[in-house]
Amino acid sequence: MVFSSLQFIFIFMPIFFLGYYLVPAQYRNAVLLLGSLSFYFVGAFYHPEHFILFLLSILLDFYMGIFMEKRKTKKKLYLGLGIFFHLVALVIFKYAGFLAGELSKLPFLQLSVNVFLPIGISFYTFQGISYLVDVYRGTVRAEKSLLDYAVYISMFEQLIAGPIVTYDTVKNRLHNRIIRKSDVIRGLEVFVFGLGLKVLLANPIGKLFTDVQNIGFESISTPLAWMAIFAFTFQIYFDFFGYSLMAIGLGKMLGFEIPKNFDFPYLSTSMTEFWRRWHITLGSWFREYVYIPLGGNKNGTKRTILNLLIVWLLTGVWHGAGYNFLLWGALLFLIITIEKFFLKKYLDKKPWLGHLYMFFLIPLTWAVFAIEDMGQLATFMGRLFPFFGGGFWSVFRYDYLKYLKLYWIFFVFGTLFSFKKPFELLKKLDKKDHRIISILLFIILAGSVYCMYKGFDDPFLYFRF
Amino acid sequence: MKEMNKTKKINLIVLSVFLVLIVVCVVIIGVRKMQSNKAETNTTIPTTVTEAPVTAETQTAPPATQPQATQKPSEPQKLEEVKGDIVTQDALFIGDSRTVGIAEYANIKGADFFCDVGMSVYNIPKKTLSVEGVGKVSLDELLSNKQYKKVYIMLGINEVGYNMNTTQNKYKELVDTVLAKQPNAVVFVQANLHVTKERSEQDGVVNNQKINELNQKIKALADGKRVFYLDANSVFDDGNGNLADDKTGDKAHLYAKYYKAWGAWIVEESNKMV
Repeated sequence: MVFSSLQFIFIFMPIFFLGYYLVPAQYRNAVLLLGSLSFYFVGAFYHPEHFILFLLSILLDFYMGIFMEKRKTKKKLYLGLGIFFHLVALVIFKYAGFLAGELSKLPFLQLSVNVFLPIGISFYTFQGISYLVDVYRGTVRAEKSLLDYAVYISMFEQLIAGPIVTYDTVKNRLHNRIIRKSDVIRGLEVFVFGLGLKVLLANPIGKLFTDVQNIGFESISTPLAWMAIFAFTFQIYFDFFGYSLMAIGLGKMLGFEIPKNFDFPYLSTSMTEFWRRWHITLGSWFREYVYIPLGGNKNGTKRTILNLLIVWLLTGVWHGAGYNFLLWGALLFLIITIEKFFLKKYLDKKPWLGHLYMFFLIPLTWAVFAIEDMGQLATFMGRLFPFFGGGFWSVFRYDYLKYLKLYWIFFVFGTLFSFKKPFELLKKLDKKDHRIISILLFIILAGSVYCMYKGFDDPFLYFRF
Repeated sequence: MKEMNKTKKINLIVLSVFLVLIVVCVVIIGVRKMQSNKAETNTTIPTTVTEAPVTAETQTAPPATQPQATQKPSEPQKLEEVKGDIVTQDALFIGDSRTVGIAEYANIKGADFFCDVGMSVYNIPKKTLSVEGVGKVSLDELLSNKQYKKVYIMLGINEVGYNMNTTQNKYKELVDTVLAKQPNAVVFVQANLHVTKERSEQDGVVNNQKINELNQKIKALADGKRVFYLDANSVFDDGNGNLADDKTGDKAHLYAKYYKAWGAWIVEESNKMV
């Protein structure tokens, strides 16, 4: 089930929240678990094996946590077992198809693997690993209640697409939470706003990139190529940002404080800064559970560079099983390393330079991310930079005008909402007169429902992961 | 102590529930496997039916086997490299999004285009469109103001869900209107292009069976004297009656690079017929 679907908003939410708010506080976690398992089950309806994997992951991590505390001498073994299980599951369900396909290109191997990616696996696996490591380190006490642990992993607002919530962040509210009416209303408002960003902004502007893909990169003009990659840049941001807001809003309605995942990343002046503002919980996870255990920057320059390489290659392939994701990770590594040892001080000193630098670097790196086929990527790059033949214009001489006419308003709103000002204005308006905000949000909700009804909805990009 | 016992009790309940759910899933998997073994058909479990995540994620785990489509190796070369301009005279192209593609990417000189995305034989009488060199006109106005020698019509893909006979009648109305208003013109009604095998198998409405059925109805309108039938499917098919997978990005429309070849084919074939 997707948050931006009619069945989630008009069937799941009313039924679930009715039950959740009516039961006495002590039964809330049970209701939440029930609701979340149903939510996952519906999503995994055609692949019950995914549901089995999900349940087993929860059970394994819970008991490994308990054992680690009971038999401290064998801590490492239990930690190892837990992590091993998760990594094997990831390799089998996420990467086996790609690996088999690649190995099949060798003359003596013919592997056929038809595996489907279990929804949420990249997220709940990382959550489980973070829990195991935290218990191992002693940062948290192992959760004694299977019910509460299961809720931590499965709670539906963050199950499918994050943010990656660590156990430490939610353990207090997990055990005891007060739900205020103001939180519920505020949560609903944040949810609607996130929904609007996704359905009314991300989906439509994303269609421009899809249109261009269907025309075929070889047939587009250079201006249209640039428009398309900026469209994708907006799409992926508002898609994921919108979804994260929906998660935060739902969390509030449930009585949780879900951490924010985005902090105006497109205002960054360096790639290093960008990755502290984009998908924040993923960056923290890699820093906390990969970079620091590897030694971080404490063991000399050469080791630091190696650690960075590992972290960024892993970040790349976390996003998907494909060469382009590996290439993307490597590219980010290169950029960030150059910044770390040389470029960043200049970018920090002169923000205008940083903004210009990122204005081009962001869409260009997204191009590598967006286009899975290497040949197609080369063709597209050739359209962005038509210095090797191919020409500036397309056979369809005014193609960019056609698409500008269709999509200009989304570019305007996309640019606007990349800045802080509109959000600050909305907050000011809210303080002045809450009714204006309510009306605005109602319009957003109505518009979103209409678009969903008409089927303008696109699959959420980050679900591939 | 009481807290501990209570927690232990709850843990046991939750664990039992989990185990029961796992067993239920195993049973479901078993039942589905038995059902699919019984059924002789090769239909895959529908992946486009509901959850977007399932659809999106199947794209990252493609099967390892190579596509079965038979391709003549020389075709792609020929299709993408049509040299020179396509020149015609006093021609009018009427159609839907595919004709829009031809207008934008085939660079046919000497032709007018009355086409729009979503055009159908049902809505064409009410449409006013911008025609280069003429202005914003309805089809009626255009046909009254200009005389053509060849009128090409390609419609139907947007009507494939409606009653075929009704659509055929509407189509005939359109053809008759053109013939009446254009005494010197010849009309070419064109087959709708197929969609890919994958699209055809998953879509209950827009599939090649229905498209073929509609194309036959359109073919029936040709009399060999003033109305002729053109079918370009053989140029773009995969050998099995489906649009070749490598010729399209969205499983229904051709990549823009093939429109020139298509335009050239239409002009060439129609010249042969008159």
